[in-house]
Amino acid sequence: MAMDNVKNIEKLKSTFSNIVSEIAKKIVGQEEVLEQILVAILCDANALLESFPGLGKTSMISAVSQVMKLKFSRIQGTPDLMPSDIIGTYVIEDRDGKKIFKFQKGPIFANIVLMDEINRATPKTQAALLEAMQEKQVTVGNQTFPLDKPFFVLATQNPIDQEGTYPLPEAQTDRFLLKILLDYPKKEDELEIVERYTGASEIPQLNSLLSGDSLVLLQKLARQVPIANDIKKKAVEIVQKTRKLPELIEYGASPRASIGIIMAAKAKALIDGRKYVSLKDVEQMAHPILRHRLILSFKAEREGLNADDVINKIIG
Amino acid sequence: MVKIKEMFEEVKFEMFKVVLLGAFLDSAIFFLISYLVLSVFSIGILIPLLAAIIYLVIRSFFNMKKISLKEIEKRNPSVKEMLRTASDNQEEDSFMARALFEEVLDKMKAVSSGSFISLKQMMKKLVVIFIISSLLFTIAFFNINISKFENPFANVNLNFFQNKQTQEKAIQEAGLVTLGSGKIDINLKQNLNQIDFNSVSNPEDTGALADELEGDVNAKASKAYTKSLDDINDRKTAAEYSQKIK
Repeated sequence: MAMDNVKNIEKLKSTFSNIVSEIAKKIVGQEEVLEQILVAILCDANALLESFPGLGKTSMISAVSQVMKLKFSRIQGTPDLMPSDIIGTYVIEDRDGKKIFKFQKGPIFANIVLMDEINRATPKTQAALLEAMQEKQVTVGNQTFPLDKPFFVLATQNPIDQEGTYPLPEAQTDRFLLKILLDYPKKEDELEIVERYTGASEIPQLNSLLSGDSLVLLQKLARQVPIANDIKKKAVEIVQKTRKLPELIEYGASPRASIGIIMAAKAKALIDGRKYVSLKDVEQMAHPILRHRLILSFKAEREGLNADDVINKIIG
Repeated sequence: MVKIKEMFEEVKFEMFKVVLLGAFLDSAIFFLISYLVLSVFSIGILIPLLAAIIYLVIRSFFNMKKISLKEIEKRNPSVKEMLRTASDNQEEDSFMARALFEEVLDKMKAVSSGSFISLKQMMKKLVVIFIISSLLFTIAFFNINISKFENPFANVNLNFFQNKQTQEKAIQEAGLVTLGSGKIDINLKQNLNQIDFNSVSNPEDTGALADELEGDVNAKASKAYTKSLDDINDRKTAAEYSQKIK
């Protein structure tokens, strides 16, 4: 029975591989992005996705929700989007000749929420979403409505076409565990995309491989993954170094980043079917955890360095 | 959980044995080299032996501090990062921690304590011991005198434990007092280290009294030291000297 526990954990690796394979029926390539989304989900956190238009963000997250049998909703960020459009509002309902106020839940009441172009929404609407993300509940008037579990927000930002946008301030982006970069596909992948989506054959339906309850259990398991003290120290040292490099970094990362790196490394270990965190996990997760939490100095920008380059220098 | 603690206790004990073995070999080398060097100064075995024991204790202490689970993981890649993670989380009782302990226990069964030892280093030390021992053996076998200098501690009174009373008693022993009123014949043999006291008679037996001086004290040298004083100056000096001691 003892060894059954070991085998069960190792089976998780095949579970996650199956999830990625299932999603791959709809999404070509982007395995690293998918892995990072899974890490964010396992950490019970939220992710920021930076991508050019037309790279399949909505399709990807919709596929994830189908495979994990989770309720999915999409919110398009626009300048006229109101907080009540996200969280919901009271509406007057006619019941038995009487008019009553009934709370109509907004699209935020789902398991996976895709907030497209969050930087197009007004700061007030952004704040409503961020508050819901943080508290996992919504307060309207004097009533509080808890959000469903599991709850995951994937907010996207368009790096181009910044006109008329309200970029998220750094204090707000800090609330997202990861910043995932979605890049253009490779040539072979793009050929495959064209083949699939312009051919006569239909896109296959995706099978559900995981339920919401199983996901909640997996989130608990992710927190339990043991980590060695020296690897923990290494994670903290990486974050500390971001505050001690004034020539390249104007403002470093907060302790939230230290928590984020360790949590993400644990989730990564679980996805790989390991029962311990490796130093490699910490170094790999450092990039998506830190890239949106650093404010680079003028010298770094003048040298053409981006956040990932600076993180590479810190890790060594 | 108890099993994993027991395993780490065993690992610690095995590491201690390895450290002790290494320190013992190092102190053996230290002893042999210091004995060789101090022999030049005619210093015996006691000091290098004491120094080697102190070195053994200090070396063991510092080596125990240096050795870590990381070293074991380096030599056993199958437990890389796993061993020290399990060690740091021994008190955890979660599902994941238990699964990790089970895997570590399973993999450590295949790890022998021999893997904790660096055989290459061990062989080097044994070769050095062999060389120095052979050198010392050769010196002893061929009775080669390597003492170039006097023992600097030779004139130091090492009779620390003899008390005053014992010393006074020794002085008062009549048998030990050789000067008296009797004739004493001392035969000095060729080797100055050997004095034949068989010819010495107890002054009480000869009837001599301590306060009477009868005649001269004649000391006869053995044949090898017999020298006829042909030179007149030598004879004069000898006569003056015998007057003095009278």
